[in-house]
Amino acid sequence: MKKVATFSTIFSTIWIVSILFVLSESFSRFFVKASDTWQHVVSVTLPNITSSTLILVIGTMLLTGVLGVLSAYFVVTFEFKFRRWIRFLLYFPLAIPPYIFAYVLTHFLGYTGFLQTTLRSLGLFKPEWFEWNAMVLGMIVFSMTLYPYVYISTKSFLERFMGNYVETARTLGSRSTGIFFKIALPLAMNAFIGGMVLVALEVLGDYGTVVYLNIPTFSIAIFRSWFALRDFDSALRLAGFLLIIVFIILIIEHILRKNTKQVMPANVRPLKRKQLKGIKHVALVSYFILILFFALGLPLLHLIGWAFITFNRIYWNDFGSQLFNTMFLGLVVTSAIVMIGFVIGNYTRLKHTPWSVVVSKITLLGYSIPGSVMAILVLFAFITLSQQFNLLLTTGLGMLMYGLIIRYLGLGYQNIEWGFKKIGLKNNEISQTLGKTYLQGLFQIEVPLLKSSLLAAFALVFIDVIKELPLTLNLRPFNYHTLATQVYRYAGDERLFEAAIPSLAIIFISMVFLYPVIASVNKED
Amino acid sequence: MKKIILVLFTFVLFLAGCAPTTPTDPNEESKVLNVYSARHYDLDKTMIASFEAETGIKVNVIEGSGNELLERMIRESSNPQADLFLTVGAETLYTALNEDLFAPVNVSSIQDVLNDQFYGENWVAYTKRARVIVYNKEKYPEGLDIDSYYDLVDEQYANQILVRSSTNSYNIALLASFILNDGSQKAREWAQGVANNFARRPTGNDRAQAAAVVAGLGDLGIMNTYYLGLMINSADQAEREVASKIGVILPENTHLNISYAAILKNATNAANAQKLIDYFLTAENQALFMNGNGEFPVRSDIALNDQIQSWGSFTPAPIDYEKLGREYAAALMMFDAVKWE
Repeated sequence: MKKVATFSTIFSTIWIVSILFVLSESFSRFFVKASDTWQHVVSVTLPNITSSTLILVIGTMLLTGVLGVLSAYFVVTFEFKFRRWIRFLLYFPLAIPPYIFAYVLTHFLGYTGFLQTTLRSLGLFKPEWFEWNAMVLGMIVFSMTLYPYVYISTKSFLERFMGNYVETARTLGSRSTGIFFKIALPLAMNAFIGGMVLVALEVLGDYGTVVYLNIPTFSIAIFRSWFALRDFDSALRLAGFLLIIVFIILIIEHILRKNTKQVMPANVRPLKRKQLKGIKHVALVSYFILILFFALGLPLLHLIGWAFITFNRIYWNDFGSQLFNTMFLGLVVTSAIVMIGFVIGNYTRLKHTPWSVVVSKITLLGYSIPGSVMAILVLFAFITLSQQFNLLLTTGLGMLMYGLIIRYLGLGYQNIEWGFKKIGLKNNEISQTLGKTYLQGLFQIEVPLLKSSLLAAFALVFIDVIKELPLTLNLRPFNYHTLATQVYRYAGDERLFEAAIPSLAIIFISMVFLYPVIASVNKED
Repeated sequence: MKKIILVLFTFVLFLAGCAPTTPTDPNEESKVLNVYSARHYDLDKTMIASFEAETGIKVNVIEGSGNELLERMIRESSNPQADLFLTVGAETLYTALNEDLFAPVNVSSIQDVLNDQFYGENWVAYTKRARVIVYNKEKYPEGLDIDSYYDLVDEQYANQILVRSSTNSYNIALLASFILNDGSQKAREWAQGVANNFARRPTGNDRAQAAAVVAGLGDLGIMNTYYLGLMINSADQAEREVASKIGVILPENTHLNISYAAILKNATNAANAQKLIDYFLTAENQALFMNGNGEFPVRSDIALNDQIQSWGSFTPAPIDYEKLGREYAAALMMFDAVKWE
């Protein structure tokens, strides 16, 4: 037990120090004299981006929160037509990269899109109808692609723990709304907050979507300062600001979660779902069909259509190696993240020191930094190391893998941490009283219990890694192409149709990897 | 414990992936060329493949965005990993020259068909694109009375101008060129005047501006000919229809974006880099960039194709591309000041 704790402490500390080393360049700028353009950034840019970033993040959180929790609650407590399919399909929008969803949505609403061409042919048309506010579009794009984070986390909590309370509440005559607000919401609060934080971090770290829709967020400001103002210092200062905001969010999360004491019932009683009838039944099924149509049907139908018309127009030569590189990179990086996340997760549950809290929060930091900033920070760190030790570290795959690991470790860790929270320390303590060592308890008893969390971590990270762009783009070795870089080659050049086939390949692989998670979760159901 | 060891072992294996790769031996006659490219077009790939076939030189490429590759080259300048830098847009040139990243490039064989605006001691442009004004031919079959970019600020075009955001480098380059050639005062008046005449808040990409013009959201759009070319040849029927309705105005002093090539200082395979540059500049390949990728050739002895000729003749703006990047920051702050988002 002691050995394990020491090992975990040392390992986690080494890991955190390496992350801090990479991020240090962005903090270091606070201690040098500000450049002249920084004055411009502070007076003009900062107020603007702070407010619009906050609006985007809060609006997206509200929408994803409502969509995710309601969907989870309905699926868990009610019996309705197509339920088996719907609870399954609700996960899949996660496979759709937000920037691709943004292309599809703006095309769908645009002049050459399906909606307007149809309306024009019917003689009904006002182009102004389709001039939607960029902020609204952004919130729609992010909530449609990110709500599964909230859905997944709350659903598994509700399934596990609601049965015990709902039966009692129903016999005491509580109505569904009462059950939702008084039982479901408080019960799932912990998981809900966790899911929401992931959503917030994902939005803060996004660049592709916001630049396409022209929503001035931190990541846009960082790029404007950097590349147009050619003021690297200001860009890194802004990145430092962003990190501070993220750190504040994480501390708030920590406090909120501490205050929502999780009551773990000893025996888990399965919930008997209530059969819905009549108009309520129709309304609920329509609600789900509507969500699935927009989040899944719309992008897939568009991409499949585009794939058909561009089949003979795209460069197929490297497709096989792109496919292989995507899978290989995804598997190696994801396996490493799950292992590191497991060790750190084990450490932060054993140790309740201030340092362990810092460790757990820093692990999450990387997830919120715009990928391109992370790419440059990693690159600089590796170049510095190369020069220090006279090694060539910047031309191998290792740099890219390391960058991806620190970028997505937070996502994997978050899921593993939930898993550890769900099972508590009891099982291990019992096994130790029965004469097993801590490690035997961990691997023989707890790991099987953690299976669904580990699987979820694996699938979520894998999906993010294979669709990731800026790090892969900037840190890859010569002649290294993945499906995501192929999407970029076309989409970056405004050839959205030509980007459809690699996009579909990414989505398809993601769905294949989501499947075991869904299957394992549904088995518990 | 066994599993922990396994975990550690895997991790060590992973770290081994970071181990140094063997650098190429400088004494050996080099059959390799390492390229950092911000041009990620299928045509470039095909052209590089035929270069490899013809010369037996293996071309290794990392594609990325121009600015990010520039940062990388600056950091690597003491030990450059790339031999050749290829990019779209001249914004990186000023910084790269200031940082002394590039070595001389030889264009003597085609100097007489190359306007001296399009090359310098350490760089050479090899394709270009025009940033033009577009309108709806069906609405204005006679065309519009616009000769210059500065005509766009006229009050008669209030609520008529469609353009993308100021984060976009084409817009920054355009305003930077005005600052460089006409002075801050006049450039600012232009930016302010255009912003006053916006039909909507800047949004979408270049193609979206053409679609908005045809949709009737505004009469005038600002976009690159390159994307119009892509729309004309689009896989999508609706987009081809939009393109067929678009009329092009090539204003006096037409703004041209260049793609340029430069050899890195201390490059291991500089000779091969020069060979690829020469290859891009052959008459045959210049025509291929025009016909296959919708760009303008940089050589003056290439007959323009029907599509480009249909847009009319033009005179390029006299831009000093080596200095353009210097005005980027000023241009961006100007956009902020006039609220061109």
